[in-house]
Amino acid sequence: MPEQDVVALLPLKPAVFHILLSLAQGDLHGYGMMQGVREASSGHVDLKTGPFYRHLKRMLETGLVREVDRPADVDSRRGTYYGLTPLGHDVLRAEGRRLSELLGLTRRLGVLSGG
Amino acid sequence: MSPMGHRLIGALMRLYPQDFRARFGAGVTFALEEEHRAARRRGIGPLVAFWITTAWNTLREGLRERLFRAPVGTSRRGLEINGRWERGVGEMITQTIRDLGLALRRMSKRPAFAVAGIVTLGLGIGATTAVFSVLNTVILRPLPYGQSDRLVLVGHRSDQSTLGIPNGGYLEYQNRSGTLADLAIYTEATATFPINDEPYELGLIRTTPNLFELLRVSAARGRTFVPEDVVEGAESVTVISHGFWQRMYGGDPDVIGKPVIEGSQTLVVGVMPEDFDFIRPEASVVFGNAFEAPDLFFPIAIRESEARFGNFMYQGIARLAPGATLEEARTELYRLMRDATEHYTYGGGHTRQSLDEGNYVPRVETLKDAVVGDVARVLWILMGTLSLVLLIAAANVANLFVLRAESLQKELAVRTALGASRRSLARWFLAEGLTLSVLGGVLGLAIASFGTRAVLRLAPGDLPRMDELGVDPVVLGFALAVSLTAGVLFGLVPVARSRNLDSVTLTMGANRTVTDGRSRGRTREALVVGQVAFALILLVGSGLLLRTFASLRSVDPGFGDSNVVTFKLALDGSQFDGELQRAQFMLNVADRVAELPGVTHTAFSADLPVDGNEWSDVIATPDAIPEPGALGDNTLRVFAGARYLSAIGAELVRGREFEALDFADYPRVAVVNQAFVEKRWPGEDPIGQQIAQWYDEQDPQGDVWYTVVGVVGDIRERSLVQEPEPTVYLPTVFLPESDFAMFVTNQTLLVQTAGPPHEIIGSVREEIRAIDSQILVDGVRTLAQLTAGSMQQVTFAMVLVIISAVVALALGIVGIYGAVAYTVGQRTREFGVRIALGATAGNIRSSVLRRGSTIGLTGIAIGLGGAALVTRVLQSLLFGVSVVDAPTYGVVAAGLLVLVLCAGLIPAQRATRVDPVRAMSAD
Repeated sequence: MPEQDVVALLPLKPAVFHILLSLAQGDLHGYGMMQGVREASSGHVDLKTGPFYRHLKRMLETGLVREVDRPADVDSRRGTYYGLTPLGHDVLRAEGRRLSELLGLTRRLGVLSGG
Repeated sequence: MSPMGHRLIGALMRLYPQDFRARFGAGVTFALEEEHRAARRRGIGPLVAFWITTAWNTLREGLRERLFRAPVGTSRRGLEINGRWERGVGEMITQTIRDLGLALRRMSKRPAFAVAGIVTLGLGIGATTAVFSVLNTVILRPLPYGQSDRLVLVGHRSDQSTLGIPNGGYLEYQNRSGTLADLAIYTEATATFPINDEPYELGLIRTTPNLFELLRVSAARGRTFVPEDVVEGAESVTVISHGFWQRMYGGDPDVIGKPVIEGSQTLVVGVMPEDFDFIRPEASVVFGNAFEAPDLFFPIAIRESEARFGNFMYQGIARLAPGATLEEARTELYRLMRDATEHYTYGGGHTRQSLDEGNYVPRVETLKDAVVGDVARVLWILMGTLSLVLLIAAANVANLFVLRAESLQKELAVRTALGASRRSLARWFLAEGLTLSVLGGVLGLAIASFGTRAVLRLAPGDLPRMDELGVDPVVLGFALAVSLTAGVLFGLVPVARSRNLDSVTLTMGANRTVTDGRSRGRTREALVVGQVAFALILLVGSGLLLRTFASLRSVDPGFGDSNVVTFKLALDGSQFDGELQRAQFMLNVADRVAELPGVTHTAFSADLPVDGNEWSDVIATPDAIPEPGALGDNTLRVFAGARYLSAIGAELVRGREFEALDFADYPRVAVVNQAFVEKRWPGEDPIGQQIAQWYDEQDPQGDVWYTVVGVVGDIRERSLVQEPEPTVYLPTVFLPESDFAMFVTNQTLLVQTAGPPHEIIGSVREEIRAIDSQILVDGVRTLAQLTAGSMQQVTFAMVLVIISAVVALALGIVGIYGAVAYTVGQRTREFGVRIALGATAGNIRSSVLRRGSTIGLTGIAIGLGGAALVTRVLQSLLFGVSVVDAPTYGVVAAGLLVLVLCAGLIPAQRATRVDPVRAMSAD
């Protein structure tokens, strides 16, 4: 995947970043992703169903996530399962790197230890 | 998942476009249902929050999907993922959606402001819309006839009563009037008839053949009447209603030309259209409006050879000649009326002299006025008052916005300083105003549609045209227009006020004044004074109607209404050999039913009290036989059966009532009431006196004399509000050749019970079926229901006025609370200073309360004056209470004052808790 494609997508909206994060552990259905986001962010990112699916649709269109086969033992009511695409992995990594660089910078400048 | 929640989510899903649903529908639904379940577990608050956010989110996202559908796979990478997508073609729309969302969010942070605004608008719009719907249906909509504004009711009035038209009057007016283009007369009657084995009460109209042409309506099938239908020897014909056609013939298209009932000589010649309704002016003078819509019309001939000016038994409807006015018609008819007494004299009738003595005058008024009557005035006043209340409510909400703009002044100034354009500020307020007013409008519509439905349920059966009632498109448009206009105005007022926002002075805190500008406070207080005044007027109206209601309840109707059920039995005349046999059959039924357990007394009768269904007759006594032509006094005449008076709990003052034995042969006994005795035989013994119904010498009933066997206490026969009149009670049996036989086709069985009356209804029905399975039982009502029916119009007006009063009161109290609370807010610093200087809580409280009570007292004073003027329109509905009833005014005023003080108390209490340090340091 060309590097500039990935860079063009940064910085990510927090919701998008968290959704990508939730899929990093494995494929999930929509509601599972929402719950994953909620738990991982300790409730700080409270995604409602409507906005969540707007993001999901854009991410599908952009090629960050894709539809995957539903595991055989899962109730079909839960809807489609989704997984990260290679681009999704790249973007997640790039955003993570960007954030950690920012965090490192912040630390070096002593912003966090002040008060 | 509750089925309701499931359905709601399903409905919400439809907001998304089809392709979105196909791709994500299952996932979205599942997620929503899971969220719903979780919210429900956490309680009602989270559940409500869930529905609000879900509705809003789905609406917003669905709209967005529909508006900006990006084809999958296009190279719009990055957009939306990092937030840059918004700057697109749909910026404005997206922005609007966002503005509305922000407005909602801001409002949810200040729920008091939002709720006050929405409820104020909702109540105002709702109440106005509901009353306007009623008004529009009953009054504004024209009657469903061609050029209906030219239709008039024609009748007569005398000293004593409102009367119809005699046949001589019809001929005179129809042939010689220049102001009436056409005149039709009719009478009403009812008959119970089986259709598919169900008893059905038919409304019958006998009319001159020109009625339909006069109303400018034609038949849907076949024809209406022609003059040839009433010539001597013509075939007997009938025109039927759409409803009767459907019920009786199942909508048979070939009904024209068939006999109306199998074996009948009368042929159906026409079927009226489905939307045809024969709207009759008012309770018929003679019969009362016994049925809602007529089923069968029969033509009658009015023959010169049998006409006279007496016996005003017909109702008249006419069409004014082009150019003629009501006044001209009245003048002309007055002249013609006097001529008629000489032109038509068959069997006597009135003379010019007797007309003058009784102050007889023709009555001509537009059909619409006659139909709508007194209710119209009440509705107009309600409408007027409520419109003002709505205006004030809107002004109040506008005020709320101004206050808010002021409290946000500093924020606005900061935003302006940071570069926010006036446009974006305007959008902010507009979004808020629109959101609030649209929500208010939605609430208002809900209140209105609920209100109209409630009104429909309460409306008296004889209130004209109520079946047409609904929230109609005009009203809907009206409410929407009001709420949208209000929204734009609310949004713009603060923007206009912020025109002279100077960011420097504002941020510097130059508004460190101690109190608010005086003039603005005055305007607001004037509005509140108005609200209090209107609330008082409406409350006084409610009070007067409540007292009317109470007086009606306490009227002694002359009978007891406890534990009596009436059963109307339709007895086919052909089953019996005349009236006498029918009466004996009724006696047999009454006796059998009397043996049922729980039944204490039975009786039968043709008439019932307070059902407005009585005749007036001329009653002769041997020493007062009316001269031929003279009409004497009209006396109420009731046809009663055996044991009737004791069954209804009337008080027998002397002698006895009709017993079963009287009906062994054609009975010749009568009972009279006390009013009759006082009038005819003051100081004499009435028992044994002779009376007779008197029409004229040709009348077969004319020479039948009845012997008075008893005197009964006065009973209100017509309605609760009408004083008892001199009344005679005659046995409900006629000579075989009597004219009257045709009218009395129903007999009523009265059953008095030991326990609750409704418990025996089933067993009585069974017993009657056992006696004769052919008998149709109908009209099962308790006497209490009859009495309640007599109070319906008052109840109806009362409920309407009370609803309006409550709305006005609620708005007034919110207004007072708002005004006082605002004053307190403005004077916080002043109170802080005063408290710092040693003012006690009492000082502060009374200072605030004084302001509130001044507003309240001014409003009450103005309202009292207004009430004395405005409640006059209720006059005709009031009973047993004066329009200027001091106790009502006093109680209402005192109660309102207390409420006003309470509304001021909360902010006053808050004022006493002002922390001086904070108050003075806050800018």
